[in-house]
Amino acid sequence: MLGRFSSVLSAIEEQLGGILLFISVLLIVFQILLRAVLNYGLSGIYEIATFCVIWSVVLTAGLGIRRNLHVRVDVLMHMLPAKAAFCLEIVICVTLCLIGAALAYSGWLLVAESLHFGDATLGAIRIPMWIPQSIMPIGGFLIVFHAVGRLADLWSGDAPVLETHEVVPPSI
Amino acid sequence: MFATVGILGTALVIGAPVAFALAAAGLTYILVSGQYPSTFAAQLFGALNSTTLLSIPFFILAAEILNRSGGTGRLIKMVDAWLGHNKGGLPVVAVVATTFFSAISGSSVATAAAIGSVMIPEMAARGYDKRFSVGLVATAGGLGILIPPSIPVIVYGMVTETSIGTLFSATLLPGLVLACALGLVAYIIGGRSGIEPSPRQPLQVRLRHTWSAGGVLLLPVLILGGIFSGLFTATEASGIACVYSLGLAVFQYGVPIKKVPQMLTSSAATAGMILLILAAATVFGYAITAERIPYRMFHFIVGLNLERWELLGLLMIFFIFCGMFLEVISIILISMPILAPILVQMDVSLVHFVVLLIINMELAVISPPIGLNLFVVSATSKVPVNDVFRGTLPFALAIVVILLILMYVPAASLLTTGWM
Repeated sequence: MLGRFSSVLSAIEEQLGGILLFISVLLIVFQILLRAVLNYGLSGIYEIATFCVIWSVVLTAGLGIRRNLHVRVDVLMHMLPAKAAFCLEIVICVTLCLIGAALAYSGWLLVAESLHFGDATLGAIRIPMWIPQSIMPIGGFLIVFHAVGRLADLWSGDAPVLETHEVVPPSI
Repeated sequence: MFATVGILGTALVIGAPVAFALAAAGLTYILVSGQYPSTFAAQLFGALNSTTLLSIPFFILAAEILNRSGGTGRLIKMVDAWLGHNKGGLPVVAVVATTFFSAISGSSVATAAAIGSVMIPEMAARGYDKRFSVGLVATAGGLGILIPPSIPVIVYGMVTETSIGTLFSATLLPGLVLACALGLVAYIIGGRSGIEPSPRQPLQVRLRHTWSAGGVLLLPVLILGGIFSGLFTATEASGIACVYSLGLAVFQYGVPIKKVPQMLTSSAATAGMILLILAAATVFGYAITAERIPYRMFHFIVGLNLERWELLGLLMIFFIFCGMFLEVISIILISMPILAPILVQMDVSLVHFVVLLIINMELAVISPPIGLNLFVVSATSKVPVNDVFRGTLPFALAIVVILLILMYVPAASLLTTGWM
């Protein structure tokens, strides 16, 4: 049940990340066309395009943890015996959970502040800042979710610590 | 501050993802210094909230579309048709194709992966030493961050508040010079291998391949022409590049629309990783700035009374060392806020310095233990990382020579800035 939820959530994050990136591209090109053809620029388009990319980045951050895609210095991991590397990876995953939780809490406060003060963008299209900023707590939650998922994958032996390591079950 | 730096060092050493190591360090500072907790999210959000940054995912997307649609393959076939019969043969073709692709992609990893996936098997099939082939592709892939448009140069421009168009115009000529130097090494080693180059293609075949790759060839003209002429900003040029590449893929190369989402998701994941490092480095940079580290470093280095050439030499050694352990964007984000005021004080042009820094980073991407191009090429070719590294050594020597020349002859890199 949880595995299915995780798969569906991952698919949504992945697809939405790509779609938002594409929307951002289209908005920028639309703005160029407006300027070139009508000699007119719509203030706020760039901000919306930027917010789309911010959403795309933060949405896919957690997924990168689950799939172990983030850039990392893995020299020590390669030097350690598989069992020690496994233990180290568990420590890293727990740390990622804590960072995700901090982002969720911090992001929640940020959104609350923006709502309280009525912050909005300055362009012709006035966007309340809490809307783009709400990706921060969401992203924090997703980081926690995927870090826990990776912990579970490691623990159950479904994922290796590194591609070159054997999977280390917790019993050894 | 010691806790912040300690957390960063420990997290990097134990193998935590670079973005999260930087975020953990920044978060530690925010907690220890008693700042309001929302500062963490606000800093991350603020770092990503930049229009200039949009060009990074856009260039990644454009390169991804060209790779997956076969545009890169057409480009290589065209270069092979024109140059493959020469003495240097395929290795020189690889360098020239990489140079063209570098003017589209902006990333060394994307360039090495794109060219390597086609050229390494082809060179192996024609009998070239595998270590030489992988070393060549891994090193030449570094041109992706020197020849404009370049993602690290965009980041450098943002950090040092220098015009990205000016920086691009400064890196263009050194990029081409370095490409020539790598081509020369490839020509010498390739020529000595005794492998017969492919037969000379008739003009008709060459023109057919040129027509087939024409769309890809126009892209650098569109990007660089637009930026240098002032018609587009770097961000707008990257957006145009995406739409243009997509148009080529769908209408000329016949890629089914249903394959487009895959290109988008893959690019979003890659761009997400890079931008997350950038955002997290900003949080760490916030801690450094709040503790006035740049100010202290500034006074320390100025107090050393170094000559300009001594400072540049020391910095280059420092960057070679950093490049062994950190990837390019992190290095720029962490070091440049501290170094930029020092360089200005020492009368070193930030435009000249970007050339030196990025050429230095060409060495970083092929330096173990974390030279990304080594891993990308190793994964593409199934050649051990160690062998890829050995293969890069003759080319690394060429990079060092060019770096030394440009270090002490600033005019060589500043020559083109006045033209564009």
